Amino acid sequence: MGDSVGLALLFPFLGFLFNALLSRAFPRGLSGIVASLAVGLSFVVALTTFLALSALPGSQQFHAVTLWTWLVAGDLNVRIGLLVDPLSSLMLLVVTGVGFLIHVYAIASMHGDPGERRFFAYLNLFVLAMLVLVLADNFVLLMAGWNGVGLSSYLLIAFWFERDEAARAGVKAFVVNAIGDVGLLLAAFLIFVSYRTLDYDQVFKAAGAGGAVLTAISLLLLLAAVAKSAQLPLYVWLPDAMAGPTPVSALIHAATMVTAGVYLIARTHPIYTQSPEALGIVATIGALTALFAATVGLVKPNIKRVLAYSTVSQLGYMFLGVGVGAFGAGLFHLTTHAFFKALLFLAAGGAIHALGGEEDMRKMGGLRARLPLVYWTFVVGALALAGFPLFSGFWSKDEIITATFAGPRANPTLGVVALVTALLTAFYIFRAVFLTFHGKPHHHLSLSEHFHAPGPVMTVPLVILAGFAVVAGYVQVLGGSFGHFLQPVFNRYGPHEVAVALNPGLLAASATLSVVGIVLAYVVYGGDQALARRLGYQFAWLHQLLLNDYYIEDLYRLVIVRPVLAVAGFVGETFDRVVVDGAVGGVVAMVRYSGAALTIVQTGNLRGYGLGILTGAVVILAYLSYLGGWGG
Amino acid sequence: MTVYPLLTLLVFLPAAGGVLTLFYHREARQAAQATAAVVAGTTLLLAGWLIAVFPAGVAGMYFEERLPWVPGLGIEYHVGVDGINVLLVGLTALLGFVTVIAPWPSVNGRAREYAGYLLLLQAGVTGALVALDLVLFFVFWEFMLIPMYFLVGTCGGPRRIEAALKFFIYTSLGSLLMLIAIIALYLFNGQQTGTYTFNVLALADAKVPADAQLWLFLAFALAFAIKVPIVPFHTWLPDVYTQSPVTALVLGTMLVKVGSYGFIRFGLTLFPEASHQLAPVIAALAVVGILYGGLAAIGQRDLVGVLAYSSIAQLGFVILGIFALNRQSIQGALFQMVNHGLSAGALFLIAALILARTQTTSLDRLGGLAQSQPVLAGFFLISMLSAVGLPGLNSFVGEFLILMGAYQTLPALAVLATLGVVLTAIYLLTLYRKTMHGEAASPDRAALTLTLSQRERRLDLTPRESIALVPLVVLFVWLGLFPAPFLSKMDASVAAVVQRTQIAQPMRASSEVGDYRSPSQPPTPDPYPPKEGGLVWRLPR
Repeated sequence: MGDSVGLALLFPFLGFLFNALLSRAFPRGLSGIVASLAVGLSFVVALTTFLALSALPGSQQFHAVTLWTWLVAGDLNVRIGLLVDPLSSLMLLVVTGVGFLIHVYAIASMHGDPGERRFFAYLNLFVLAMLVLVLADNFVLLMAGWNGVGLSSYLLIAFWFERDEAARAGVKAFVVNAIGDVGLLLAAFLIFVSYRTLDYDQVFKAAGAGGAVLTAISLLLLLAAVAKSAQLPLYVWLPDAMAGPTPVSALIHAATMVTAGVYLIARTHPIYTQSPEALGIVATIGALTALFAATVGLVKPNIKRVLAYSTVSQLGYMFLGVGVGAFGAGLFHLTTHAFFKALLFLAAGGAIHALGGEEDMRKMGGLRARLPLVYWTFVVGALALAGFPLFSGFWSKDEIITATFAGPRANPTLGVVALVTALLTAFYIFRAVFLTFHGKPHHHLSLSEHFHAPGPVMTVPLVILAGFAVVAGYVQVLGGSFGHFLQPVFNRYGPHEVAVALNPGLLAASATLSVVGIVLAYVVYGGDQALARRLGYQFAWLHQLLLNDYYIEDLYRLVIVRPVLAVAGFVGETFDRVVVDGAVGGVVAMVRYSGAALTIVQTGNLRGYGLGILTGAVVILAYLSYLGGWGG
Repeated sequence: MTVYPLLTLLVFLPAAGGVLTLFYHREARQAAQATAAVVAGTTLLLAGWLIAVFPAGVAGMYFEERLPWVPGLGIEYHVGVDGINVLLVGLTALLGFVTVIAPWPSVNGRAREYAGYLLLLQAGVTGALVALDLVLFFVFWEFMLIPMYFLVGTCGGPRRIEAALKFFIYTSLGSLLMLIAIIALYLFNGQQTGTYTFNVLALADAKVPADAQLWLFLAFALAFAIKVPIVPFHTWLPDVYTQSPVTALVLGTMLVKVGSYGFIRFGLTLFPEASHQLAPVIAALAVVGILYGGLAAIGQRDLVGVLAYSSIAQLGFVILGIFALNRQSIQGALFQMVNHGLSAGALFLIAALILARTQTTSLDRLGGLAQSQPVLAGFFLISMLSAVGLPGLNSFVGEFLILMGAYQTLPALAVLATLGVVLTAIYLLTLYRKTMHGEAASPDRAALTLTLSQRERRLDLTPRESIALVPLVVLFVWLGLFPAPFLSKMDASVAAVVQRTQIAQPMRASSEVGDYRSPSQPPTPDPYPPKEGGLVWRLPR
């Protein structure tokens, strides 16, 4: 059964090739259809794989597929090999499922863009890279997918390249990710030096023996995960990444890219579980990022930016989950988040599309009446994100919070942070709901006939995603089947309990916090917003602090970016020319101005000079012949 | 089956073609182009055949040819290929072909010179790569300077004379010391064994005492270090690259690779102990080059300037791989030489196309080209990504093997070099952004676009330009996805070299470095003992 999984890679690859090379010969509208079809077929493969796998007993759920041998040098042997197991098949399902809906949505939202073909080529490349990432059975192929999603995100963020800000945001995303790639490279080196292999299976088996090196490997992998999943302190690329088209944001935030860090930690859990210190750092980074991004999300005026910070914050939850050893809970939240975050982005995209590209919530307002479907689906997404009782985010977030308080590696302090963040989350997302859809319409397009209400190609994916955002949580609650399905993965290299029993007290607490957050948002933003303005004046310093991300970006600019550029400019233009070259220049000058013997040089007579070289060579040869004659 | 002297053809076919075109009429641009294309094309086919039939998993020389040249001195015409140089020979033929079929720069009516020098450069580089006799090597080594010197000096930019002169003085200085070392080694070996020979394979077994080895190695190393170039001997390169005709650099990048090749073929093979002793120092300089070149590239404001410093940084990876002295790193280094030839070749070609369209390479004046030149932008993108080391494309394989190998012997340096990967991403993506992305809106740029449409009357790549770029891009993907067949052609020869440096250093416990434990093949002694006056042509089994 595992053999067919290669098809899941083949379809997006063919879609990419079609749109990159051939689509010019066809009508432009075809590119989106082909791209969607490619991912749709991948989804079918994913679904069959998933179903076939769940029918098998746990011990038989691991299939390796080797496509070809990639690198051979000395005792290093790396294959293009795929691993089909419950974890990768789950990721496969999420990536292709949510990815497919986003592709379909993009057919409508990107219609008429002059770069439509290029867009869908990149979109398929993105899905392909992500699938390589989750299916790889060794660290080098993982790296291929890992860098591949970094590349695709660069291409898509900078898609509207004629805008300088988009081009710069793309480069920023790539460079920050490259810093993470260094972590992955060094981790791979350390793994190879320690175990003489880079195959997951052999590495994980060997890791069972423990050792201090595992902490180092874990921390290097963490560097990669932090960059890719936009955690502190490398989150800076993600908020800027919204310079790309909205479907790209949805893809980056939900289906591909940012979830890779969480996946990496879950995949390498046999390494992490050997290092409580590393896991502790993962949990701490997660909790701090969750809180940090939620506070920043409270004040941002741009709707996509609010969603971007919410992604950073929710990924923080996932890191917290895997950091306290609740890998299943982290992946559960990853899955529910994929649905509701894709939904939120696409619904927000509907509003933005309707207003001709307006993203500033202060200029929106009152869209509920004109966009009822977009409104309701956005609210469903918001309720799921806020952890409103019985919506999907409620169950998955609660599982993480429960594990943080009561799991095997419980850390109540971080648990409190997670609860506070839950309150903030409910508040900021409903601030977005009220600002965008309630109140008075502020935009001049809101009432005009230029208002673009989204058609069925955009709304059907919204409704489907909304359905999943509601029900995805019950997969876990009713049958407990989610954790159960993943259990074999986490038991393979030593027993490790992933399922956490939900705690009624914590459920009640987080439900209450969620409701309180929504009510508070209504109080502040539901009416005429006088209170919001008053708070803004009263706590102006706090408002500025949050609006500027605690000045982290400015700090980077001051401490890293500017000095590096200054040094580079100095080295490249002054130092190398003047100091290093000076010595040589001196020699040349001396040759030039000393002695008439070298006047040819000054006359620039090149033929004469070339003749000189040849003569020199002949003299040397003659000398050697003479030497030989004399010696022989 | 008839046996042909394949390597001789690869060297002397372009040489003959080059000499021939130099005698063409001044105005015979078409004829010069046609001759160059036919000669380079034929050579490429022969080189392709060479690579196709070259067997995997064997050390030792193939297609060896051996003729006495100055018998009294033991100087021979002795050429051959093994896993170390076979791919480089093929690469030279490919880049030579790409250079001559690519659109020619306006060379001020000097088409015959341009064609002639290009072909002679190809001949010189190929000769230096296949020579197994030190004198023969030295002759080719010196010879290849001449066409490059003239290419820069006659067809180059405004400061071409100064640049050509600097290049010449700089590299001659290194060559002089190398020549002295060659003679010293020859005499020493002669006195010791009674056989006076310049045969590299025989000299490899000369028992040179450690202190003498050190000095001889240093003399060779200086010549190679200037050529590669290793920081701080690099300052000729930015001048030459920015002043030479940009298209010629597609092949011109092969010149520097003879330097890095020399380190393996002569440095490591002839002086294993000294190599081992100085490896950390040279590797450290290489890492300085990676970081320094990367930083300087970020600071450049000229397209060709960025590529020039990028070459310094990329060759730093190669040198690091060579002097990490293990199988992964040296295979990576060899593979990376090929990769750099392909990706830098493509980038220089693209720079030449940009120059032809906009009449400038200044990054302050370029921008937004992707709007009017989407196909050019696509080629630029994939070439840039190849150079960045994106997995799935060629350079990743080399870079990964180099760094992975280096991490096993010189971990601290490897970690620093890995940081260089970030610098590469910064300068190449910024380069791409500044040329292709953004608005083409400033009055200056608008004027350029206008000149373009009036001058060239074309929007994007011509078929000929695409044909020149396509083989390079195909190889990016091919070598990136299926490098194993190519790596296996090098494997045994590299293992033999590594083995030598290990035997030379018994002090170093084999357990210290895992990689040294078990090369798949024992070191191969010279499989073909010298035959007096014989001509040895061998086909692979």
